Amino acid sequence: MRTDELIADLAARPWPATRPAVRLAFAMIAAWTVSFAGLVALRGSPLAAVAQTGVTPFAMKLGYSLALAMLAGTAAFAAGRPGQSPWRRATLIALPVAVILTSAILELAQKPRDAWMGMLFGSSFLGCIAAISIASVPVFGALVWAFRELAPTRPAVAGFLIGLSSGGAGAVAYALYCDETTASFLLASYTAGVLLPAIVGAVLGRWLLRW
Amino acid sequence: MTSSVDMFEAKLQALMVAGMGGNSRAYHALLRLCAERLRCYFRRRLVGREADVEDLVQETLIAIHSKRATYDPGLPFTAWLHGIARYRLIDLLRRSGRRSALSLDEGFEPVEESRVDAILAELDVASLLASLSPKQAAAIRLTRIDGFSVSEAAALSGQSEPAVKVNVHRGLARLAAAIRGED
Repeated sequence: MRTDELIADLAARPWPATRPAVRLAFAMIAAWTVSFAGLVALRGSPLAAVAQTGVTPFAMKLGYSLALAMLAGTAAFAAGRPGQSPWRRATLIALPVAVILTSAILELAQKPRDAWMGMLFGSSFLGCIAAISIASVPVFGALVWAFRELAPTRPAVAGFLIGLSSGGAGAVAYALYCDETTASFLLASYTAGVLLPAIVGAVLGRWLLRW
Repeated sequence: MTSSVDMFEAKLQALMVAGMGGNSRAYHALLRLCAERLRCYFRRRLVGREADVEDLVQETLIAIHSKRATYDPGLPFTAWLHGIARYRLIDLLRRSGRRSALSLDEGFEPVEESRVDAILAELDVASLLASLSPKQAAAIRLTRIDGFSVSEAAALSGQSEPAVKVNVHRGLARLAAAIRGED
């Protein structure tokens, strides 16, 4: 086909009513609900651990996870639009990490060195990472689906941010069950738990996000 | 230099926004301008593979079309276009198993100004003529744009010679009023 025929053909088609931001938000919420329902099925009713940990540690876990999910999500959205740089938004992700890092350092500084391992890794380090990673899978899949309307020009970067965002969403679900109380634990295991899907996302992004 | 680039950018952005609002003629002109730019861009980077240039231009136009919802009207159009063009070029090079030694990050070269002006001028004229009655538009197009004499224009448009003269006169008066914003 000649190029000007193609242009005439394209120009005659109606403008589609696609709204990538809406689709992304919908995918995120719908898939998070699936992850949450899975946790309810496996671990019973949520928030049971809050009575034991107190509200402050719970709020901290929830806030950290939610901030990572949202900030990585908006950076991923920017990475899905050609000509936009996700870096400025991505650097905002350092903010919640810095807050938790500071809290963890203050916390650790008050305790003897031999208590540190217990505070950082608690009793559920590996279980926490596994739960967050598994809970992130439906969200990751849904975000990849939503990205079909977007156009990531750097698929590995977009994949990393999608993974980080879905990891954050998985952590939001897991925080409703987690019975750990220290900021140090939050720093060590939640960060590791969200980084795992992010790294997988960066690797898979090159294939999954092609267009 | 920057001011003409800015003007061009502003026009592209305006065409895109008009296209998003359902103006298919603006969108048509935009795609033609994009094709010009893309042809220059790819030709420079695919030296010795001229056969691939036009295919890649078409592929990229389709990508522009199917991914147009990812354009943010508040941001430069050229950056968006360049992002898509660059991605399609890298994709082609990867598919054909050759890593490019060329720098992919340079922006667009300026397109021949005359081509761009011609497309934009045509759009302006077309949109202006669209505000006239069909007989007035035909009379003006034939006599003033296509360069026919009044009698030839009369024969071609099926109007009488006096009617052609009157339609040109009234049409031009109306265009002048429209351009002054007195519509």
